Amino acid sequence: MGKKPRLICDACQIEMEEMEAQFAYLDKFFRHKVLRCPLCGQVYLPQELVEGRMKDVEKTMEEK
Amino acid sequence: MEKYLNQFEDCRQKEEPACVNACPFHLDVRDFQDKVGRNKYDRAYKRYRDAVVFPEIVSRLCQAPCQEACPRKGYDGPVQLKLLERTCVAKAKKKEPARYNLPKKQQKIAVIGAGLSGLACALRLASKKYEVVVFERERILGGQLKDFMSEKEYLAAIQLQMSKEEYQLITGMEITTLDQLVGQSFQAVYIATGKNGRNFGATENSGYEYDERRGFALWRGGALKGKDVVTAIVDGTNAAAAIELYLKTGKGDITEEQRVARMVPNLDKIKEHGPVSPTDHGVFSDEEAAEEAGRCVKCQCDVCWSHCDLVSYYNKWPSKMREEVVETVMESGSMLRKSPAVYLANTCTQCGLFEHDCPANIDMKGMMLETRRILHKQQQMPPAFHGFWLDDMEHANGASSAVCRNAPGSEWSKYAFFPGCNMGASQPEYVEKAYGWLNENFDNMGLLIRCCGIHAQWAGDEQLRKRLLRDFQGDWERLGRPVLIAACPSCLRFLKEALSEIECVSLYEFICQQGKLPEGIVKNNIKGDILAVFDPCAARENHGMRDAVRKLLRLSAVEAMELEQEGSYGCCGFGGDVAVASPDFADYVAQKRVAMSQAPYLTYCINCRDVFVDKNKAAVHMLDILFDIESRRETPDFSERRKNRELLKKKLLSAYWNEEMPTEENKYGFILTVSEDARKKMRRLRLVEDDIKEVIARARRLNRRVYDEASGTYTCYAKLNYITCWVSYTMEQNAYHLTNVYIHRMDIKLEDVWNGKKAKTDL
Repeated sequence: MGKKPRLICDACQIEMEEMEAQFAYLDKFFRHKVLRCPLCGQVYLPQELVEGRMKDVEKTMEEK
Repeated sequence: MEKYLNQFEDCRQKEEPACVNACPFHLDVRDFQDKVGRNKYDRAYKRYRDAVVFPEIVSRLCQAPCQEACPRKGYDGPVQLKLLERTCVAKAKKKEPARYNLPKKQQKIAVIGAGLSGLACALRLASKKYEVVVFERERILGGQLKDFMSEKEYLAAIQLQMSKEEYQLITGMEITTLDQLVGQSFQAVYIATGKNGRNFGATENSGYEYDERRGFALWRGGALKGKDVVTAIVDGTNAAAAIELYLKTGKGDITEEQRVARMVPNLDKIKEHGPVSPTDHGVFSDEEAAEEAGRCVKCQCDVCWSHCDLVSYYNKWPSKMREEVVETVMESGSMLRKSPAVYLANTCTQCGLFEHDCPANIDMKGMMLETRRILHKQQQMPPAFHGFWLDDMEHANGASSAVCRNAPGSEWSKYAFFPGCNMGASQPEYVEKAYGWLNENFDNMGLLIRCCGIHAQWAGDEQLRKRLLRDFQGDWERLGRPVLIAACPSCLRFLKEALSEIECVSLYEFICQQGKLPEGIVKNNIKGDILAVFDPCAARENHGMRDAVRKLLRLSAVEAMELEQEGSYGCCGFGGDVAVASPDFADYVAQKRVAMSQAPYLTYCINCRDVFVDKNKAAVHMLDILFDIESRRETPDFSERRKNRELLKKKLLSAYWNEEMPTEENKYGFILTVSEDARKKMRRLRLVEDDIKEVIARARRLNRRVYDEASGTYTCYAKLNYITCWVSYTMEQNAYHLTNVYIHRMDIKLEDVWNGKKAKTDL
C-alpha cells in the first residue's frame, strides 16, 4: 500500500494541516479551518473550496 | 436617489385595465377571466359575488360597460364578459355564502327601502354583524327589479345571498318622516326609497349629513339618486362602507371618484380570434368558456416586461426593483441589513431602452447607476464587479497604449480621430486603416487613443470618473480643442453627456458630411449574405449616426436589411460592465440579440461585434466594409488585447511620427507557458498573463508555494488588485507551465499575525 499523497509547504517541507485562518470581505470578518503550514502559517485553499462554498459565502456577504 | 424613487408614483403597472375601470363594481376582470378560463367556476363565482353582491341579478341586468372599453372592440369584437359571467353563475355549484363568526356589534342601522340598493347595504353591514333593520313600504322586496325579472327569480337570488345573515325586515311599513325612527337607537340611516321616493328633505348632492335633532347620520342612494338597477347596488355597498367608517371614525364621506383610465394596453398581444358563440342557450361549454376567456389579453402596462432585459431576466416588476433598491441604499449598521439590489444594480446594461418606451418616463438606468454610486460610496460595491474593466482602462490610458498626437508635422488639430480603447485592442487594423485614410484626406487630423472613462461611471466611482474626464479634457485641449471623430457609439454617447463642451461626431457621419469615400466601400470583399443592420444601444437615439451608416451601406456593394425590431432592442451584453456580476445575464442578453435574425449582423460598435463573434454569430463591422478588411471569426483573449494596444501604439508612432518605442523587456525574468484548459479559464475569469506572472513572482519572493504530491504541481497565490488569484503550475526546465488557475473575492487576513507566528503583516 502506497502512502497517501500529501500537500507539502515547499518552504518548510512539512505537511499542511487544518488550522483556522481569518478571512475578510466587504468589512466583515470570519474564521474558518483551512489547510495551513504548521510552521510558517502559509495557507492553501483547494479549487473545490474556492469555487464551491467560498463562492456561495461571497455572494451571501455581497448581499448583506 | 429621491428623484428616482419618486418617479414610480406614475408607474402604470398597477393601473386598472380599461374594463375594470369601466365596471361600476371594479370587478377584478383579469382574475375572474383567469378562473373562468380554467373552468374554476366556484372560485370565479366567489370573486364575482364579492364585487357585485347579487350575481344572478347582475349577470342578467348589467349593461356591460366593460365590453365597450375592451381594446379588442376595435379589432375583432370585445371579450364577452357578460356571457362569461352568466356561464359562471350557471355552472358554479357552491353558491352558498360563507358565514363568518364575528362578534356582534352594538351599533344599529336603519335602511329605508328594500330594493337592491338598500338590500346590498343591509347585507354588507349585517355580514359585519351590525344590527340592521330594513323598512319596506310594499309587501315584497326588490323595488324596481320587478320591471326586469320575474319575482320568483329575483327573490330566489336575494334569498340565496341573504339567508346566512341576521337582519330585521319590516315590510308593509312606510316611513313618512324620519321621526318614526327616533327613539330606536339608530345611529345611521340609509335612504334608498327608489325612483321618486321620499328623500326626507335632503339636498341633492349631499354625501352624508348628521341630523342633530334626531341623533343619527343620513346617507342616500340608489334609484332615489337616479341610479339604474345595477349601479344602485354600488350605491348600497358604498353607503355600507361609508357607514362603517362613520361608526368607527366619525367620518362617513362616500368616495365615488371616477378614476381616469391610464392603462396603456399592449396591443401587440391581440391575435386575431373572433368572439366565441355559446352553443347552450347563452351559456358557454367548458371549452368555449376557456376559449372566450383566452381572448382576454389581460391588459396590463407591461412595456418594460417585453422590452427591458433586466425586468424579463429577473422576472420582477420595476416597482419591486425599486423596493429592493430602497433596502439596499438605506444606511444601516444593523446586522440584519440586506442589500438585495447589489446584483440587480450591477446587472443593468445601461442600454436606455426602458426609458425609451416607458409611458411614465421612469429612468431605470439612472436609478441603477445611482445605486452603484451609493454602493461605491458606502464601500459596499464588491471590488471584483468592476475591477477588471477599471484595470483594463488604466492599461488603455497608460503610457504603453494611449496616444495623443497632432497630425505629423502639425502643431494643432482641427479634427482628431478617437477610436476609443477597445477598437485597437480587438482589431488594431481598424485604427491603422481609418487613421491612415483620415490623415491622408484631411489636414490637421490628430489622433487620440484612450478610454473615454465610461467604465468609471459604470463602476459607480464618481471621483475616478471626474478625474478621468479631467484627463480627457486635458488631452483634448493639448490637441487644440479639435472636433473628435469617434468610432465607438458608447464613447460618443458618454462624451456628449459628460463633456458637452467637446464637439463630437461619429466617423460615419463625418465621412458622409465630407463627401469623400474610402475606396473599400466599393471594392470590399463582403459578398453573398444579406447583412442585418444591428444598431448598438448607444446609437439608438443618435439618428444622425444611424442614418449615416445606412447611407454608406447604400453606397457600398453590400446588401443589407433592417432587423424587424429596428432599434427597439437592448444591449449586446457588453454595456454596463455586467459580465462579472452577472455572467448568466450577459449571456442571456447576447443570446437574445443573436436570435433576432438568422442573417449575419452588420454593426458599428466593436464591442457588439466581439460579443456576437464570441457567440459564433457571423458579424461584420462597418469598418470591414469601408476599408476592405476581412471580417473576424474569432476574437483575441484579454492578454492579446493588451498586446494589441501596445503594438498598435508602437506601429503608429513609428509610421507617422518616426518614433521608436523601447521594446519592453520581460520584467518578470521567467517564461510562462499556459495549458489549453488554463487559457480557456483565464479568458473566462478575465485574467491576463501578467496577472499569472505577478502571482508567481510574488510567491517566489516570499518563498511560498505548496507542493501537491498527487499531481506533482505547485500552487501559490497572491492578492491582485481586486481578487486573490491561485495558480497551479509544473516546472519544465526554466519555464513555468500553468496548469490551473482559480480566483476568489474575499481576502485571507493577516494569517501570520493572527497565528502568532510573525509580527509582519506581509503575506
